[in-house]
Amino acid sequence: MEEVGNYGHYSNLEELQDKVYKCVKCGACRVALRQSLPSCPSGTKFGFDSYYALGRMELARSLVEGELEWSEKIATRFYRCTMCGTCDAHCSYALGVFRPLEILMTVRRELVKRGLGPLPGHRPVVDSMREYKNPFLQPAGKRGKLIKGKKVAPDKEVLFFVGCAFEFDPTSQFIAKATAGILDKAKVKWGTLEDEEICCGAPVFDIGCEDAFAALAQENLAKINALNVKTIVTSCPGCSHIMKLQWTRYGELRPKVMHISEFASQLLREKRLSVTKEFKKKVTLHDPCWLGRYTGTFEEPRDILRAIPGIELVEMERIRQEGYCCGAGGGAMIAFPEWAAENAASRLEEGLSVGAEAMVIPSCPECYLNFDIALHGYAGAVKLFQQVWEKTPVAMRFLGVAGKLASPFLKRRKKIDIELIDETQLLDQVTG
Amino acid sequence: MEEKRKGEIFKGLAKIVGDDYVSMDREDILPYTRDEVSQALKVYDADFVVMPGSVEEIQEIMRFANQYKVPVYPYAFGVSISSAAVPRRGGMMLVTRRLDKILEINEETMTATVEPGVTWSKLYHEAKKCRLEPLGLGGGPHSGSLVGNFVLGGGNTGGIDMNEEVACEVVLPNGEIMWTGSAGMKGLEKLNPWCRVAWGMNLTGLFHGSMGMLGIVTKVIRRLYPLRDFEERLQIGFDEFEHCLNGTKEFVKLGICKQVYGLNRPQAAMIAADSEILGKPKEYEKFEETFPAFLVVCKISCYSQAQVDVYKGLIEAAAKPYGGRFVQYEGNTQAALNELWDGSSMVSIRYMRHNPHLMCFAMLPPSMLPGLREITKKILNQLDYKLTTFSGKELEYPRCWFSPWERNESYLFEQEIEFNPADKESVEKFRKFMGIHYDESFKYGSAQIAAAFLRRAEPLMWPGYMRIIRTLKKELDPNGIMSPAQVFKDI
Repeated sequence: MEEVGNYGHYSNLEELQDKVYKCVKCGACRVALRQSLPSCPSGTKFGFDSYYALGRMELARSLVEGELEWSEKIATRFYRCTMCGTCDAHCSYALGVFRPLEILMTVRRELVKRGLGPLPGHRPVVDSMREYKNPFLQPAGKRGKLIKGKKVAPDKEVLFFVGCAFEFDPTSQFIAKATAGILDKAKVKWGTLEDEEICCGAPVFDIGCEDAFAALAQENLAKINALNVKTIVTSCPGCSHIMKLQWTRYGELRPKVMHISEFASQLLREKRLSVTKEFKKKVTLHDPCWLGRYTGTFEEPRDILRAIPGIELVEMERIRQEGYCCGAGGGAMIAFPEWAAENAASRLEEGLSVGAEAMVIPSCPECYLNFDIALHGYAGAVKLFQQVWEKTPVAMRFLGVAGKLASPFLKRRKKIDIELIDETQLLDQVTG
Repeated sequence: MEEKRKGEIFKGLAKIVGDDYVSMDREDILPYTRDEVSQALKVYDADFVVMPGSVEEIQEIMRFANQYKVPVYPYAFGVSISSAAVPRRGGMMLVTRRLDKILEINEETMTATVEPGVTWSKLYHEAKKCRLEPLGLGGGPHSGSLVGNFVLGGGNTGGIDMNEEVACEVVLPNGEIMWTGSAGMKGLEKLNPWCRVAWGMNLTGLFHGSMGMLGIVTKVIRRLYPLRDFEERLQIGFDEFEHCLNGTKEFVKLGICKQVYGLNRPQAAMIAADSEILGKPKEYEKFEETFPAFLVVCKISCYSQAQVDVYKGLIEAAAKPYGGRFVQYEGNTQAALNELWDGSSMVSIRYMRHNPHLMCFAMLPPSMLPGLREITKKILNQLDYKLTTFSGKELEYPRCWFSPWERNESYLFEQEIEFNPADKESVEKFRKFMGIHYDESFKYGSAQIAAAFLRRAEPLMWPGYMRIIRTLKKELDPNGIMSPAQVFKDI
């Protein structure tokens, strides 16, 4: 199965009229291939066929034929989707005659055009992106404070694109620092855009705000193409996927894009980075959707683990192309945080079920935060939102809800005795 | 349905299953009311979709439905494709797949007890751990429900024996539970039932193919077969349809094939093709030509390589007089053909990948298949109804597959009649074709298993046959709530 991120892009559903008829309701989108385990987070949670790809295809067909009206109910059914792409991967393998992701994304864009999207829970993010070019209501001057004194210069080979989440989210800022640590150890000539960095556009792309995304893509392309760097390294698979597969719809991106797991794996192979310590633990690896299924990066994170003495890797059943989504993507963590955390909890339990002591995440801020919420409740999320969203009434309402959600969620969930490890931080710790 | 009544029924259902598992939103109901073929047919609506989580909830729903006289259409995964699971008179879609456990795999009796939410692939995956497997759909969607297939009347393709289900648990329309087979004695259902006919008549067979008319099947006990160390797949090519059928009859007579299933060239190509060449007509045409006119794939199950060699020799000897020869492919092509026998694979679904289509089923002795094929060709020509594949080349005969359904007594023969739902003329021709083909098939003498056929077949049935069905239906379902008009027009 090829990576799913290279689907076509359309602005209205009528352009896909032929394709919406191609769904034969075989059900491949509902189950993991060959294991018959659940593969669709929204279908698993909400149960009705309207929350699986096959049901959404039927809804899309009915919208095209005018049998259903565009409505908030349609918006709910299409936004309660993490856009993990498993349905697309299965459908491509089973049939290979149309791409569910094309239809899902086109519906989101139409919902936005018709004023039915984004959902209220997404709106602070979209407004922030339009005003501040990041999803956290941080003015430009607040950027570039995490990694200082590394402004990219003509002699640098690598641009380290920090990413908004790692810049501003206290839960995962350590990952950006670990990335910097690895680049320094390998003596890579690297720099950042510092306060000139803006969001890659992933949050608005994901929820169908194509015009907002286009503006960011074009600005980023102009800025980065003017640099002398050969490679962009990022620790965020949202950024790496967007750069590799979505910016390029608006122009050529000259440097090569690599997620830190790809780059670090290369550094290890080239012996520019050496593992000097062991790490004794039985671990399992979660494949973030945007890194794995969307861009086909499955082996590099595993190569990194294999290079560390003492690690025993036990794989879950749903891995690689069948990797089960953590539940955060597609705007789900923002609009439906409790569902996202429940989904993450089930994934952590899957890790426990194979005997792992820890779940390793090849760096992904959404996965990491979502798993953190599942393990520890909303402490991390409240910290993030308190710090960055205290200005808006919507954010204050969310904080109130998040605070209330924290305790019932913590009370009713059972303790999941598994550690969470970011792979970049792990590699930084074991390399000299 | 009138709004006040709808509201009352909704409240009642929500009280039984909880708010999260019932909906009267059209957006939730609509996906259940359509399937592939219904893009060309009249579609109906339901009023509710309800998802019970236990047999007890199903029982309560049935009692409630009787009280309010609400139609009930059972639905597991809905992969029937041929409109067997769609509603016709409003009411509720009763989705049974939350009951999704394999309750037991019994290695002594070689049976599995499964609930409606167990897919073929799930059972294959779990049974494999005990070195067992069901005889399932060689060419069907493994994402479908075993129980659903049982109720549809399918459930086995290319097996030696279609009597694969030992017993079933049913919630009758009045909410009562019963078991069939040797579990028919109350209390014995706790032991693994061992027999279909322990207490006289074979009531398991009554619910096989009942299409939800007589109750909701909530458990099925299905036979399993040993997985031996040498599970081999053989592929035999033939140039002529009649020779292919004669050769296949000979394999089946040998009694050594676990499963057998035949494809014509365009069908084999469609299943084996990688998605990359689907949009490249010239490449696809070349790929099609690498297949023989007919390809029979069969599985043998052996204890040793020596036994494999003996069986291969016997099959070759059976096929050779009819021009049959072993064929083998490489790379992804062979991998795809191998996967047809992997019970948890989705490769078999690829025969559905071109356009929406009707699976035109028939069940006939093998010698009668060519005649039906000619009838189909004649009707297509009369209607100027063109069928093509990804190569764009016009097909003389539809894509098809066939399989011994009941040894050599009856082969399941499926011809794929495609249509373009976006083209009114195509849809109109398709509807005409269906009507003519049903009538001509019956005249020819073919039996059918799909709901669509039975609705037309009733006037041709023995009066006694229909009297028995109607009497049972009236006795078990006096309010006519179970799948009304699904099988027969007025009940």
